[in-house]
Amino acid sequence: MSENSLHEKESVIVSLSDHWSVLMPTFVFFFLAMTFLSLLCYSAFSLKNVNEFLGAVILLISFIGIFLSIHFFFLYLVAWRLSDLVITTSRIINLDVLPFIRNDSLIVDLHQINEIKKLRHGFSQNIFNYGTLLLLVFGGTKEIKLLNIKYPSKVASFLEAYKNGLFNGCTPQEIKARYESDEKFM
Amino acid sequence: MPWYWISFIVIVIVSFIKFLILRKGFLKSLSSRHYLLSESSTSIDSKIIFVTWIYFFTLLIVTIAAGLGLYAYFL
Repeated sequence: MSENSLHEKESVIVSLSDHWSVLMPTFVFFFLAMTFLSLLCYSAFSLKNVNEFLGAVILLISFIGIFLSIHFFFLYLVAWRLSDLVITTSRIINLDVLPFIRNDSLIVDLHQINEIKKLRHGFSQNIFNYGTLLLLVFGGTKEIKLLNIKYPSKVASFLEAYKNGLFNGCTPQEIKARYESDEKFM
Repeated sequence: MPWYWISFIVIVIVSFIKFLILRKGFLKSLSSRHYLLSESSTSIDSKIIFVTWIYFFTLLIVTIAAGLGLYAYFL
C-alpha cells in the first residue's frame, strides 16, 4: 500500500471543499470575458460594411475567446470541487488539484501538530466565515498554510480537541457525529 | 471552402478534443482521489460527471451559435 492511501484503521472524519467565494473571481472573469466577446461579435457585424475581412477576423477571434473562456471556467469549477481538506482519524490531507496541471497532496500527521493559528483577514472572510489555518508541526520550521477553509474556528477547535486527546477511545463515527453536532466548534 | 469556415471547423474540432482530454483529466483526478482516500464512488463523482455534461452541452450550444453567426455574417 502506498504511504498516501489510508491506513488500515484510518477513516475519513470530515471532508471540506474550499469556500465557494474562492470561485468568485472565476465567475466575474467569465462574465466579463463573455460580455466583452459578445460586444466584439457585435462590432464585427457593424464592421462588415466597412471592411468585411477585418470583421471576419474579429468574429473568429471572438469565437476562439469564447471557447477558451468556457474551457477555463469549467477547469476551475472542477478544480474547486476536487480540492479538499480531508481530516481523517490520524492525518490531515490537503488536496490541491487542477486537472493535468497540478495534483498536490499535503499530508500532516495529527499527532505532529504543535500549534494551530486561525486567520480571517478582510471583509469577505469575516462575513462569509472562512479563512486560513496555519499549522506548526513538531520539529518543523515553516508553518503549513491551509487556505480558504470553511468555518476555520470549528476546524481549529476540533484539531485542538483531537490533539489534547478529547476523542481518545471514540470510534470514527462518534468523532464525526461530534464534529457535525458540536456547536462549540463553531 | 472559404477560409472562415475552415477556421471555424478547426476551432470546433480543437475545442472538442480539448473537452475529451479535460474530461479524462477530471476522471483521472477523481480516481487518484479515490485511491488516496481509499473511497469508492462518492457524491463528488456524480457532481463532476454532471459538470462535464454541462460543459459538453455548453460547447455544443456555443458551436451552433457560432456557426449560425458565421452563416449570418457571410450570407
